[in-house]
Amino acid sequence: MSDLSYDEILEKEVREVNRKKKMWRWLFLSSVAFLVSWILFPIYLLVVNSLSSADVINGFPKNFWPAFDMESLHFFVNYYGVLGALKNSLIAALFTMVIAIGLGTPAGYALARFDFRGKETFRMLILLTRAFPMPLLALPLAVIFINVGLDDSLFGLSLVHTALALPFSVLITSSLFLGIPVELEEAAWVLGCNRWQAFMKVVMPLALPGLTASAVFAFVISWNEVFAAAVLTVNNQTLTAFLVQSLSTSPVEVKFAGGLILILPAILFLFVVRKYLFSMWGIANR
Amino acid sequence: MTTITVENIKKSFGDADILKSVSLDIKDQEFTVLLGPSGCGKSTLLRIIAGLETQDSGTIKIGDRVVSHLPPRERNVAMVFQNYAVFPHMTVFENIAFGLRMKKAPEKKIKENVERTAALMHIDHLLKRYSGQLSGGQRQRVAVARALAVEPDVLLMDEPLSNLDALLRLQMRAELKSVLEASKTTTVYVTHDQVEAMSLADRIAVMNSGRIDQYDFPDEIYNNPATEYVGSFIGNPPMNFISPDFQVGTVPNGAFQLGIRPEDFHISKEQRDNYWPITVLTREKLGSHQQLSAELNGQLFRVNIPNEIEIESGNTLYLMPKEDKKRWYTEGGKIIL
Amino acid sequence: MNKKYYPYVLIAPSVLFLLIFFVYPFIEVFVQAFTSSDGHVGLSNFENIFTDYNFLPSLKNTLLLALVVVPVQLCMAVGMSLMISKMKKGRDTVLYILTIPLGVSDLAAGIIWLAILDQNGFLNSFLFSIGVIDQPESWLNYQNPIIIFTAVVVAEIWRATAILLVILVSGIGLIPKEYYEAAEIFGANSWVRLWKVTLPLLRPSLQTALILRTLLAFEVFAVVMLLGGSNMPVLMGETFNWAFNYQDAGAASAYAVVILALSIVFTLFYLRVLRVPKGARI
Ligand SMILES: Nc1ncnc2c1ncn2[C@@H]1O[C@H](COP(=O)(O)OP(=O)(O)OP(=O)(O)O)[C@@H](O)[C@H]1O
Ligand SMILES: [Mg+2]
Repeated sequence: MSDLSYDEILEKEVREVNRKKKMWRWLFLSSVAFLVSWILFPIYLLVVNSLSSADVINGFPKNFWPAFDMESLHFFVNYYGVLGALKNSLIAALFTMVIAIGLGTPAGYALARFDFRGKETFRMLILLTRAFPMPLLALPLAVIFINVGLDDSLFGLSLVHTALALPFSVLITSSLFLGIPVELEEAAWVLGCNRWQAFMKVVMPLALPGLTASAVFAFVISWNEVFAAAVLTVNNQTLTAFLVQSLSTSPVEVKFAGGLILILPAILFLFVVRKYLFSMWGIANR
Repeated sequence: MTTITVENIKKSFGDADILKSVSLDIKDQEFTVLLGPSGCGKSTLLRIIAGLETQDSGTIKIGDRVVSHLPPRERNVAMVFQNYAVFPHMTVFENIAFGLRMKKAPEKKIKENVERTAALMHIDHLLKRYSGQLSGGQRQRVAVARALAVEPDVLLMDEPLSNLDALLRLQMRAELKSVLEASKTTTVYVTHDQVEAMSLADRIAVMNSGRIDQYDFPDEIYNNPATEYVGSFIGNPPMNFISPDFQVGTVPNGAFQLGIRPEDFHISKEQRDNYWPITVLTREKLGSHQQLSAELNGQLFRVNIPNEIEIESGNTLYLMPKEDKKRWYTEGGKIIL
Repeated sequence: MNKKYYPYVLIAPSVLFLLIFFVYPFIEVFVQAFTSSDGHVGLSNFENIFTDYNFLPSLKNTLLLALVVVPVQLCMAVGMSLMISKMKKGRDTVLYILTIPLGVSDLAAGIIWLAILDQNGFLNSFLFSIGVIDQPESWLNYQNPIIIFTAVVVAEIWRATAILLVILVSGIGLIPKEYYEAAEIFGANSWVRLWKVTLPLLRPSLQTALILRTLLAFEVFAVVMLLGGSNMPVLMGETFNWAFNYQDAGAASAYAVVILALSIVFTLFYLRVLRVPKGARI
């Protein structure tokens, strides 16, 4: 028989449970910390590199602390073709964003609000595009674009990027509209709106944040796309095309600064859309 | 004069006939309730009157105007939805003003009407709030105020009280009644709650899978159900329907069933002439009276008896239907007058 | 206008666009792939690429990469999404950080990992400072194909786990809490709950995630180009080379057809293996 009283046994058990809980908690927090730094640290190192002079970048060993030397970024901006490429990337992404939203929103509305013959076929067509490596389609389009005079044009490129972004924009907007009760629109019709007025006065204000998110999504898709951009642009290179095609010729500091410039807007935009990211995917899954 | 005339409206979704030639004549300033079980087509009919749904055939007239082909915005109707549909991105004021703004009413009139209807619905202190900051009952009030503010010819309501809790529902019901009586607007109101229908309606249209079985005053609906269906839908518990295979007095020609309400029996504990000996199956005490379910020759029926009568299940009780309360129905379920 | 036509008017622009920019080029890829340079229908493009010394290595590398990367990422993403579903404080911040790579192209990811793994990179600097090496080693050269492959794997895991994470987190969000509570009441511990409740109910999301991620793995090329250069050919990189450096659209299209074929095979495979019976969805 044990000498411990009942109370003492209880106390010991409680302590044991607490110890286990604490251990789990510690394990949990450290894995969170590990994952967060696994993502952030490489980005930090890129920043360190971009904020160092060329000598430091090519030197050894490296300092893990940024020197806050703007030489590389300065060099990058003045490097031949960079500014143009940056501008081109922006233009192509903006075009893509506008076209994808402009075409996708009405289609998303139709999917959300109407039952019509061919609806499922249309949805299949949209989903099908996800089952194919879309950038490959730039290959035949390159030939076609030459024939119609769209070769080496940002507009042509953004059309290809729209093909990438449009399915998402249709699915996302349709889920947005599905989330807005039909009765709100019907109430507006009864109170004197026609379809367009009801859409603008009731649906649009409610869908706007989500629409912005999906626009941003389209922007990022275009901004990051490498393959089609490299195949379709020659003189009007986007930043990704420029970086890929000058990998072997450009100095390292251009690469690193370019990498930083490339990920900055994406990080920023993701921050803007973070609230919608999950509902977007939650629905796009179906 | 705002009458509503519904003529031979038919509607089907796919191959399901939801409305099978429905006609209704609603008088000016009348409060009509569409009553029926879930899925019988009440909302569909209401939405056709509003113009939110298009009929397959038939016409709708509001006043002298044929509106069947017009979009909702040109019918001068207002509607209160089951989930209220208060615009979440507008303040209560803007919600109520919405219809007037669409009609390009002058600012002064908008302000006047909004304030008047808001006061009427007791929400004048909420005008600056957004719908997210309102309770269900308050949202409901906003929806009604928004409908009244446009001074519509016709007010349509689709189960406007069904999302409220029981107590609030009672309170709102009384309030709606007085507000609508004062506003003198012709109203069509959809519900599946017969008590609500009885207490609100000038006239009730009882719907039965796409048809209107009876359109009449509440008392008439209760006392003289036009069909077996109406009798068994209205009243709690509903009317008893008994095959006259035992002594029931004179049976009119063509009669198939006797309809008699549970409270319309003479009751005795001793055997008497022409009384039925029934076997009590269950007894429920309901406070004001007791309710029995009983059996005779394999037919089940319900009886309400006063509290004073002491009875146990298994006992026998003697009943006779009151002569003036007997209603006779044909084999097709129609009343014989 | 008749109401019946509204939806068609609304989808018409998208349909037209997809016909021109998806269906048509899709057919064109095949036409070009099966048209030889002299204009005849035939397999000469395929003969060209199949006999190219880079074809088999690139096929092998691409498949191997997908085979290694996708399962690892899937396990990581499941773990991460479970972790996040357990979090309360700071959940949004952590989620945001973990999904940052979603906005990072494979090109940028390649540049980031180049900064680390380069001869003068941070890894060497670190190893040097703790005394493991005494001069910068060149890891990413042709003598170390396994190290190059590993580097690409690491970079891919870093970059593309986020997409799986997002899909799984939203999938987990769709599973009603009651199921867990019910399972717990019937005595399931958290391990059993994971295998008997979470993962089965997550199957549709897992399916989407796997399809999407595998296809993306077939499309990889900029990371590989940066970290491996010509030492690690992959299908998409070869496609790019034929299209861009050798200006041979036919051969590039043939490569594209190979990638498309792989994509279809894998998509069908996942659809079959992770099939969710109708009516067994949430
Ligand atoms: N857009 C539609 N498409 C197909 N069927 C529909 C549609 N709208 C209604 N229905 C069907 O029509 C029938 C009647 O619907 P309705 O909404 O009018 O019923 P209700 O009487 O209002 O019922 P509840 O009391 O449940 O609201 C139902 O069986 C319903 O399934
Ligand atoms: Mg209804």
